[in-house]
Amino acid sequence: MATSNKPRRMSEYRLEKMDEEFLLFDPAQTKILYCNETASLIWQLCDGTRTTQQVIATLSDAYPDAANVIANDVDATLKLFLENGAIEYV
Amino acid sequence: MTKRRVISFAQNAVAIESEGTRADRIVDFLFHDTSSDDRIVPHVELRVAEPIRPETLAVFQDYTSIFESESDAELAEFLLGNVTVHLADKSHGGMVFHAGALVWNRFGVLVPGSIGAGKTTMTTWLVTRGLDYLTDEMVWVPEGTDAIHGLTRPLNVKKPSRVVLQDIFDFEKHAAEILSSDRIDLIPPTALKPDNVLSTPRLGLIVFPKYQPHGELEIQQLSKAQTGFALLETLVNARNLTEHGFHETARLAQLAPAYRIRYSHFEQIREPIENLLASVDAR
Repeated sequence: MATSNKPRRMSEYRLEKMDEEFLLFDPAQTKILYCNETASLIWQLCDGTRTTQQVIATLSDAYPDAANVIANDVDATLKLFLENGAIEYV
Repeated sequence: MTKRRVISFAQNAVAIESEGTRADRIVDFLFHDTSSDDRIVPHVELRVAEPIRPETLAVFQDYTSIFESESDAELAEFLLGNVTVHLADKSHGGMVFHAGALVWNRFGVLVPGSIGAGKTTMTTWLVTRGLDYLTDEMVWVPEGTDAIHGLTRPLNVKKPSRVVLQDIFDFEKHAAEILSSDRIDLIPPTALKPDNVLSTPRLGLIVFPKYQPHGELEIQQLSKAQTGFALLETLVNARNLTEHGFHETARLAQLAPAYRIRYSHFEQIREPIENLLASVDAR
């Protein structure tokens, strides 16, 4: 997926925040997603206004020590979200 | 002479009529410790009786024979499974988990897992370690609470588990107390622990077991979200609950520490489990 696309959370998904992690649930498809701390941050940044590249940049600024793996993490996580209908690109 | 027994669990009930000494004995063996609430109207009526064929017992539902066998153990296994499915199907008012449950110092120890995870094996071992038995199969947690209600029944030990358990339970010595078929042993909890006490404890500890014949011990403390995710995978009655029980299960996941334990023999887990139980004591 092009990094200029803007990921946006699907509003149908319910959210439970537990410490720094999330559980996401789609009642229509009865699908549950577990998001570790990183995935939870990515989910929060999927607001439809940031591009994927901007999501990566935001996280890299916040966690410079992990900057070399963040692009891959974001890519894999967004792919998982998309496969489960948890986000769409706008 | 017909006897009637109502088995209630998770705000629904199944009625079982038994005709004859043999049928009475099986029903009493299976449901001696199961709760009974006369205020709940049963949604299923079963009958255990002799059909036309001699030496055979049958389970009837709505005047139709749904199972027949000459073996008491096979009939008991069928009846136990059938009643459990019916009770899960109409359960409401809280979450029903596919889980074993025990009591340690007034706190509930939940042992959730899908089929084959080793719930009964772990539960049996814990009873021999002194915990009180509640169930090896199904737990109901009423909405908004952390109360552990077990569907108390004989432990249903699958034949492959007999090898694993034979060092801690003498199957031959207790042969008269248990019902055995080619596939299962049904063991009343009092055969494992004569002074077993039933109660409705508050949740204190969650252990997700995974027995594997070979391999190193692995113990992983789960985060709250991981616990919620794993509990949701064992939630039996999601379709009967608001939002499929998502928020309720997430709430429960935050109330007690949870561990995933992969083990190959009991000696591996003896000390770690004792440490976990000690942490429950300290709560």
